[in-house]
Amino acid sequence: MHRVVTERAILDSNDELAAKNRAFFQEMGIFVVNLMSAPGAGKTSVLEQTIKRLAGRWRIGVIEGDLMTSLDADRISATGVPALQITTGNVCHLDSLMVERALQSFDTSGFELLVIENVGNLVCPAEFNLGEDLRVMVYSVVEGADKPRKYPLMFHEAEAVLLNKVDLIPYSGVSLDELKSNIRAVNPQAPIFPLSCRNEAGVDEWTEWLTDRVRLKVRGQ
Amino acid sequence: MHEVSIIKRVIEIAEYEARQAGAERVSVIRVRVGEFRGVVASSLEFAYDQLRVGTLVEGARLEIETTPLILRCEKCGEYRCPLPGLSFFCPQCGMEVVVAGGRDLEVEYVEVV
Repeated sequence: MHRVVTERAILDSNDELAAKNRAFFQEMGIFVVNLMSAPGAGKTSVLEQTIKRLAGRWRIGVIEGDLMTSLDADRISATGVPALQITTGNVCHLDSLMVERALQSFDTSGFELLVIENVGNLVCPAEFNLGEDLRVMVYSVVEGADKPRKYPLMFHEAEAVLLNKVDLIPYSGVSLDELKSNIRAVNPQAPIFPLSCRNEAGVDEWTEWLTDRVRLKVRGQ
Repeated sequence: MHEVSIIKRVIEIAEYEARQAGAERVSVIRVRVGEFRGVVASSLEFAYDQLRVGTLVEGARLEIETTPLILRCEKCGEYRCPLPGLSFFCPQCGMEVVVAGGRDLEVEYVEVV
């Protein structure tokens, strides 16, 4: 018997490909957002609202990840923004290989902002780098104030947290303060944007913050 | 669910190491999984039992070592933090802390014969 010490990172191949994707985005001057959430939190609605505000300012493209159907890509295409659907079959997250393959059939030239909407899942996507500049999490407030404590990883990894469906707070009894303080406990830094895609409250604050980040990369100012 | 993707890669790494060593098969795979990863040990074991069939690791024992979440305060030092009740503020001084351990996800070693 012979012991081979490897100390090898299991996700090394994903990380290597993510670095390759990142270099490609850097060369093309594209700012890339990895948008993550549990199913039904409102990622696609956030995207629609974001496109509505920013499509005049930036050339935007979208990659949609889902287990099946092209329903989300169809919604985005209806806004006039180019969208490519990745269906993962039953895989619970996007990985950097799926994104690399998507880039081969998706003409991203001219894009300044690319949003990759991950598969709806509160755990797994947080483990897989795609080569993005920014990890954004959408959380629906009606899911309860306790989830940041129960599912700390994604809340911790997010660089911005959007709290969607705040218009439903009066009907759900969720305390926004308690939710924010639970997010702060696992992520002291990330900006938190309470908003509602339904009545559009708070959406401008998010898109203004995002556009500052995009400008920094695309224009270097 | 992504434990399947992880185990596929573990088996690839183990098979690669066995071939590199000129061995016939793998007898032990030792994996280190941090507490602060979205990875469940029992799901890894389940996926492993399904996926090892027909590979060089078919007869190998999968050992999973879980490493605890360690946080570091610049002022008060490192301490172990249980996941329920996780807070990135030091319980001693209230300063913001960073992760110092418990994020591992690696193949530590394989034993080949």
